Amino acid sequence: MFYEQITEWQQRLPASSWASFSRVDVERVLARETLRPQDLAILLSPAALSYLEPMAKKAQALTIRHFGRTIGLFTPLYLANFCSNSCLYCSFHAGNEIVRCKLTVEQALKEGEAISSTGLQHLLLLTGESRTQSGPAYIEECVRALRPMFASLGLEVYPLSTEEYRRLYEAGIDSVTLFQETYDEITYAEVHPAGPKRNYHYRLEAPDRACEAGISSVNIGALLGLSDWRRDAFYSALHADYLQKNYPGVEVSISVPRLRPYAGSFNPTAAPVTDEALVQIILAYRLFLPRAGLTLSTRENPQMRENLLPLGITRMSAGALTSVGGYSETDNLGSAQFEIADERSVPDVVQMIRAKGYLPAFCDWVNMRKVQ
Amino acid sequence: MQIVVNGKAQEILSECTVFQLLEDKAVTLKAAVVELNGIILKQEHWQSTLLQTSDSLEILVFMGGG
Amino acid sequence: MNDIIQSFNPSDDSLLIGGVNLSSRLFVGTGKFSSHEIVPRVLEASGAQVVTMALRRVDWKNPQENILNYMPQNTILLPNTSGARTAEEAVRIARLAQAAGCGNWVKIEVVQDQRYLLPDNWETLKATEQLVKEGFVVLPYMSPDLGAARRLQDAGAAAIMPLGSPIGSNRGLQTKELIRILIEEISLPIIVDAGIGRPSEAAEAMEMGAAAVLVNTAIATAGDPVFMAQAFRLAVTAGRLGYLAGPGERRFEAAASSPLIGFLQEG
Repeated sequence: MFYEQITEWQQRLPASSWASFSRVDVERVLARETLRPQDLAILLSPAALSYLEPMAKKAQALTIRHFGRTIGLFTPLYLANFCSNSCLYCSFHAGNEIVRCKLTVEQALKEGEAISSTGLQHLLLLTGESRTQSGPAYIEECVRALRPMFASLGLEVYPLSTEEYRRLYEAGIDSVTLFQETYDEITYAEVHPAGPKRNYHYRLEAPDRACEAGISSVNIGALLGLSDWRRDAFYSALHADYLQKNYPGVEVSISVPRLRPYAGSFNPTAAPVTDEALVQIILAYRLFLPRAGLTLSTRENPQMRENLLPLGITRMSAGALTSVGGYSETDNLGSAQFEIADERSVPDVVQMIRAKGYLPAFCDWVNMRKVQ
Repeated sequence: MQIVVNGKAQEILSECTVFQLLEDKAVTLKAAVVELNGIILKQEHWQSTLLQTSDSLEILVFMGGG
Repeated sequence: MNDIIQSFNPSDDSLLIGGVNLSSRLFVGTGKFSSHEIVPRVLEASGAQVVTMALRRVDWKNPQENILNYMPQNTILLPNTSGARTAEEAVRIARLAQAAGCGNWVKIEVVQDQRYLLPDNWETLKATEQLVKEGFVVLPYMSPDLGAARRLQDAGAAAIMPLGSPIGSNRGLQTKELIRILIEEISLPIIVDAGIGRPSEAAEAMEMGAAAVLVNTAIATAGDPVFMAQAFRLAVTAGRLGYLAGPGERRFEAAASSPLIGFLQEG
């Protein structure tokens, strides 16, 4: 399983390695067609900072070659924000006094209609981790209800068993998003002091279970800034590579969420992820994984999103809300998970994408499977 | 009696063992492989196996190949 | 002696197949030679440890003739199943070869196409599955298709032998890109077999990361097969060493402007 690679590379790539790479190493990597993990590490190291422009050129060319000049669009729909975890960095933390809410199926449908009227065809369904409030059965009900309205439904909830993924796959989910948050076990334990999310391995192996259940697209990543970003970016990319190699039929994508302001008082000890660092991460991901999707959410502000777009991004959210309710007149029933930095509407995002010379793709996958 | 050896009909005396046949044909015994009626006949059985009418033998050796 | 520069010792870079550590990454075939007499000198010049041969009916004009007579002592014999058109025939030939007492390695070669002699991947897979079950060390010769290679790997093949170009064509690595993908995606040794016409092509395959190459026609039909065998030996070592040394760097001129990441400096 992937954990073996983490232990292997922890030994081969101690903290002191980052400073040991030189400009010559970076140039050698840029001359290569196919990159190995050690090359990925070099691209994430301080030495690569002086090479962002050549990295960007190569990344842009690779992305256009493999994905064309298209950007897939989607938006999240938070069905519920009840949560039994106490993640230090998240608004949904069980101890936080926020407005908790769960949409009824009817409300979810209304939200879906509002979203669908913008033209968006790919919807990502989210809940907090609460098996009592938003258990698999509830999720399945919502999936079945929303299925006819969208070409493809994705799921970003707590880790499920293979059987649960299978049921949801049959109900109409074809993509699963799950972030490991951090691949560093020590930080992971620190920021997840209570709740089922404490189980590092169960979460780490969830994408495998989803793939085994038939899910045809998985999206992974670390929450950059929780722990040392170089290490987390390294393991995120390695994880994506592992999934591509072990599940060749599955489309693998990687996201680059940076820690954002939220309700709570968590202050990470790790260095913050500067804009430069974020660019470096995106470029390293693209060069190491020429065929993986790269997803950018509305955690980033409009200028950043515009500037990052040509560097390897293949999917973006648009017109997003992270509150429970709010798309239709079911107005902001439950508190938001994080602050949206790019609040532009779908038409505005579409215009921006076009202005950059890219084609916004409202639909690039149609789930043709009959609902079981 | 008549048997088939490497696809060709052949007359042999009765009471002939596989071993004797190979010897008669001057085949290097060490390196040959024998298939009798579609079944591999191990070396240790060559001397004790009597040929019967209509038996089909394949006698094979290694030649150059890529 | 400058001990920063390591000297390359082939036996430190051995190739493990079927439980055997091979120090030579050149496999040689014994077909198409004008006579068998030259074979021992060719094999010696090539340094090859793994040698292929075919099972055929005895030649009644020369009943004593047997390629095994010309093999050096410690050669690993790799009988092929040439002549087989189906998995069943390949399995039969493999069992026969084993009965001859040459060990349990087998190169699966199943060809239905008599024009180009291209291997049939489906029959090859079936034969591989069966022979792995029977305990053979199976090296399937195949057309470089990633899906087929994955299945062969799952079936328990000991290595994968994709063709460079059709048997005997001496056209080099026509399938280079597909072979590169196999080297990238398959964790078994990739041994390029068929079509290598020149020592430089063998070196090219090794530089790409192939584990070994199998050469037959190019050596057997050369003007001087013994010299050619030696050339291939050197080429395989050179290519392997080049691969291990890592590619040279390309100089990147500092960009005069930074159109893509310039935004990081602004604001």
